[in-house]
Amino acid sequence: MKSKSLACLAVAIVVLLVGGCASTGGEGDPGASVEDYGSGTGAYTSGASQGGAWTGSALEDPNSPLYTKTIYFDFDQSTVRSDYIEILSAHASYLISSPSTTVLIEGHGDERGSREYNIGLGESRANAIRNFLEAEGVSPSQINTISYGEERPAAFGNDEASWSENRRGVLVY
Amino acid sequence: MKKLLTLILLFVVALQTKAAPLTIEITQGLEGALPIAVVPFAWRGDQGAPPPHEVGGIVAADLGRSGRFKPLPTQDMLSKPSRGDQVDFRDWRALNVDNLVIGEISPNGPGGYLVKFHLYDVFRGEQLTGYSIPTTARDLRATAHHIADIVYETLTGQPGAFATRIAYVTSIRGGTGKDRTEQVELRIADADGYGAQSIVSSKEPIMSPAWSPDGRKIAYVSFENAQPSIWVQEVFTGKREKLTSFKGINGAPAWSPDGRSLALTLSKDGNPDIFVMDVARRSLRPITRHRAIDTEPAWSPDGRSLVFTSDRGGAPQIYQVSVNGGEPSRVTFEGPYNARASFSPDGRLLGMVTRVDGNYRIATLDPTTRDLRVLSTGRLDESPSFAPNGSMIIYATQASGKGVLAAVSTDGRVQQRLRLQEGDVREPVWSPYLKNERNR
Amino acid sequence: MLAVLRRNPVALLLAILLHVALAVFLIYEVAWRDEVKPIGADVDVVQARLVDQRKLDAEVEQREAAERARIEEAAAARRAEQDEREAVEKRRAEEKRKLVEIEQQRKQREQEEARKQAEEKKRAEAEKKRLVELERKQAEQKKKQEAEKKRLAELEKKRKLEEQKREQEAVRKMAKEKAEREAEEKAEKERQERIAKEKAEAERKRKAAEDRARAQREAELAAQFAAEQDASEQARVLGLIQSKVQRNWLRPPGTEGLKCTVRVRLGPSGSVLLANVVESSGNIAFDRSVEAAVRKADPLPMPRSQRLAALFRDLIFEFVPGN
Repeated sequence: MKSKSLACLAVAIVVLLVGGCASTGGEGDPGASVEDYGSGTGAYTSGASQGGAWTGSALEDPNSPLYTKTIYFDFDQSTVRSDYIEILSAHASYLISSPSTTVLIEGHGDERGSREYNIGLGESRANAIRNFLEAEGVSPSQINTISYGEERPAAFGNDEASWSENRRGVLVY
Repeated sequence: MKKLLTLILLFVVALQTKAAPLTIEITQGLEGALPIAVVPFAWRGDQGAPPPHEVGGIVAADLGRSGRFKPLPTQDMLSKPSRGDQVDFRDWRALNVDNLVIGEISPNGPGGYLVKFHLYDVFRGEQLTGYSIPTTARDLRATAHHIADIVYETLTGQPGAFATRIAYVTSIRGGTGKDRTEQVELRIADADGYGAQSIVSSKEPIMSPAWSPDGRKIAYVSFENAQPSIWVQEVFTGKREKLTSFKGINGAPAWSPDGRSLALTLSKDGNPDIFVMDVARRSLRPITRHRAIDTEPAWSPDGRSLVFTSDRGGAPQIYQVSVNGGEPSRVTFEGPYNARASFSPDGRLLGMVTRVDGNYRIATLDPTTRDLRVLSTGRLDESPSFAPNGSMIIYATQASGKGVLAAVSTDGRVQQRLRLQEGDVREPVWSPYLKNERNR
Repeated sequence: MLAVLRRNPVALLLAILLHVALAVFLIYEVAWRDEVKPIGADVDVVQARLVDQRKLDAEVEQREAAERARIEEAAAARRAEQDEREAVEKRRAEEKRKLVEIEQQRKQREQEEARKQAEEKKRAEAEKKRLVELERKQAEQKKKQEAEKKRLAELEKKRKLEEQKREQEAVRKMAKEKAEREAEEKAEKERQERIAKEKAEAERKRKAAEDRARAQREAELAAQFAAEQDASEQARVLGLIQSKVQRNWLRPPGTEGLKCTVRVRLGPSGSVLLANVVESSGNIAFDRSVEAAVRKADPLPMPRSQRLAALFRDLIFEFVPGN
C-alpha cells in the first residue's frame, strides 16, 4: 500500500513541476464502490496543495475505522461482539459530529430456520447496533433500521462459511 | 326299524352342516398404492381442432402424484378402449389392475368439447361412476383435474385436491458485486405446476404469500420502496391495496377462516408481536405483548385460537393463544427449534419446521398425544403448507444449491420433487378449494 | 542550441530529470492502477480470422443441406421405427390376449373332464350295487330250500327211529336189567358230556364277547383318526385360503385398527359366487380393498373330500390388520 502511494506521489510531483499536464485522475475504475473489493478508487486526486493526506470522505478512507460498515454476529445472537465496539464507536462519533447525516442500519441473518423468524432476528441485530449508537450519544432521529432477514444474503453457499458472512448488520449512509 | 334310524341320523348330519359358517381371520396384506389404469382419452372429431391436452395423461399424473395410486404405463396396456362396450375386463385382470378409467372427447360447438369418462371396478366387473362434462379448450385442464377429483373421491372416500392452485416466490439473480440484481416474482400455478403466471414482480424481496379462504385474494409482504409492508391483491384482476405500513416489521399475514381478519406480525411497539386486523375496518387488536420475537401466526380451523412462533422460552417454539388474547400456552416440547406452525384442515395435526440434529425438517405434531413425526429428509426444509384435503404437505427445500419445491404425504410415506423452472423457488402455499375457475 | 541551454539551466536540469525518471519507470514497472481483481466468469477471447465470405457461405449452405438431409433421414427412420414398434406391440398384445384365452379354455376343458369322470364313476357304482343285491337274493333263496330239505330229512329220520324202537322193545324186555344199567351209565355219561359242552359254550361266548369289545375299540379309534384327519385337512385348507387372500390384499395406507367382515359363497371347486361386506369398517377405501382381495384370490383352495368341502361353501372373512 505504502509504496503505491509513494509512486503516485512521485509522478504527481514530477508531472506538476514540468507543468501543463493536468491530471484527470486517470483510468481508475469509474464508480467502483467502497463495499466491493476494497480497491480504493485511485480517482481522488484533488487540489494541488494537499499532499500525503486522504482527502475524500472519511467513510471511504480505507485506513479509517469508518470504512468498515458491516459487522458480523454469532449464530442466533444479536449482541454486538466486542471486536466491533471500536468501529461502532467511530461511527457514533462521526454521526455526532455530523448531525445532518442519517444512517440506515440493515439487519440480516443466515438462511437456517423459518423466514419470518429470521426477519425478527435481523431486526434484533439492527436494534442492537442502534442501541449502541444511541448509548454513545447519537440522536435517534439520525438512525433508521430495516430487517431483511435471510432475504438479502451476501454469500450463497449452504455452509458455515457463507452463513457467517450473512449474519450481519450493515450501516448504509 | 333300521331304515328309521338311518333317516334320523341323516337328518342330524344335515343339521350339522347348517350351523355357523367357518370364519377366517385376515391380519395382514400389502401396503401400497392402488394400481389403476387410465386409458388415453380418444378424440372423436374429424373437424375442429383436436384437444390441446391429453386428458387421460393429466388424470393419471394427478392420481400418481397423490401417492395413493399407481397408474399403469400406457405401453403396458393390452387394449385401449374408449367406450363401455369395448371394455374386456380380462385384459385388466391379467395386469392385476384394480380400477379402470376410460374416456372420449368429441367436439361440442365452436371451441367446445364434450368429455365423457367411466370408472370401473375391474374385479367386480362393473362401472362405479361416469360423467359427461361439457367444456372448452381453455378449461380442458381444469376438467381433467375435476375428473381426477371424482375418481379419487369415489375410490378413497376423501375429496381430491387436484383442481387447486399453488402460489410461490421465485428469484432470479444476475450480475455480480455491486451490480448484483435480483428479480423476485410472486407466481400462481395449477397444483401440478402447469400454467404459472406472475402476479407481482419486483427487485425487492417478496415474502409470506397467503390465500384468502375464498381463493380470490392473496396477502403478501413486499419490500418495495425499501420498506416492508403488507399488501392484499385480487387474484383475478391484479388490483391491490396496501394494508399496513407501520414502522418496523410488517410481516407474516394469515387470513382468519371467515376471511374477515388477518393475523400479522408488527414490531411498531418495540419488538415483533402478533396483532389481528379487521380487514374492512382496518382496526388493530394486539394479541401478544412480550419482549420476545412473536411471529408466524396461524389460525385454528374453528377460528378461535392462533398458533405462533415465539422465542420467549429461549429458542423458537410453538405457542397457542385464544383469539381474544390472554396467556399463551406452549405446544411443542420436543426438539430444540420449532417454527412456522399451521393447522391441518381437519384441525387434528400441526405442520411445522423442526430442527433435528442440526437439520431443519418438516414434521407433524398431534397436540393431544404430543406425537411428533418428522416427514422430510432435507437439511434446510421450510415453509410447509397443507393441501386443502389434508393429504399432502408442500414445502420448500434445497437441491444442488438451488431452491426447489417438494411435497410429502401427511403420513410421510410418499415424497416427490416438483419441477417448476429456473432460478430459486420458495415459500409455496396451497390454495383452498376453488369454487368457480374463471379468468385464469 | 547550447546557448539556449546555458540560459535556462533549470529547464535543462528538469528535462534531464524527467528523462531519467521516465527511463527508470520504463525499466522498473510501477503499478499505476491497482490490479483489477477478476470478477467472476472468464471472458471468452474470440480468435478472429479473415475468411473468404463466399467460401464461408458456400460451406454453411452445404452443411445446412447435409444437416437437413440428416434430420429428414433420422425422422424417416424414427417414423419407420415407430410404425414397427406399434405393429410389434399390437401383435404382442394380441398374443397375450390369446394366451389368456387358451388358458381359460384349457381350464374349462379340465372341469368338463372331471365332471364327466365323476358321472361315469357314479354310474359304475350304481351298477355294481344292483348286481350285489341280485346275488344276495339268490343266496337267500338257496338257503331256504336247503333248510326245508333238512327239515323233511329230519322228519323221515324220526319216523324210522320210532319203528326201530318198537322192534327193539321186545329185545329190551329181555335185556331190561342190562339195558337199564347200561342206560344209567349212558345217561351219566351224557350228563357229563353236556356239562363239558356247556362249559365250552360259555367259554366260547366269553371269548366272542371279548372279541366284540376289542373290535368296538378299534372301530372307535378308527373313527377318531378319521376325525383328526378331517380336522387337519380343514386346518390345512383354511391356512391355504388365508395365505392366498392375504397375498392378494392391497391395503390402503393408514388403515391400521379398522375391521371389516365379508361373507363369501363358493362353488364346489372354490370359485367365488358371491362376496358381500356384512360389517363395514366405515372407510370406503378399506371396504373396497377387502372385497377386491377375495375376488382376486378366486378360485379359493378347497378340501379334497366332498364331505369337508360342503363346510367350506359358506365362509366369513374378518379383515383385522394387526399393525
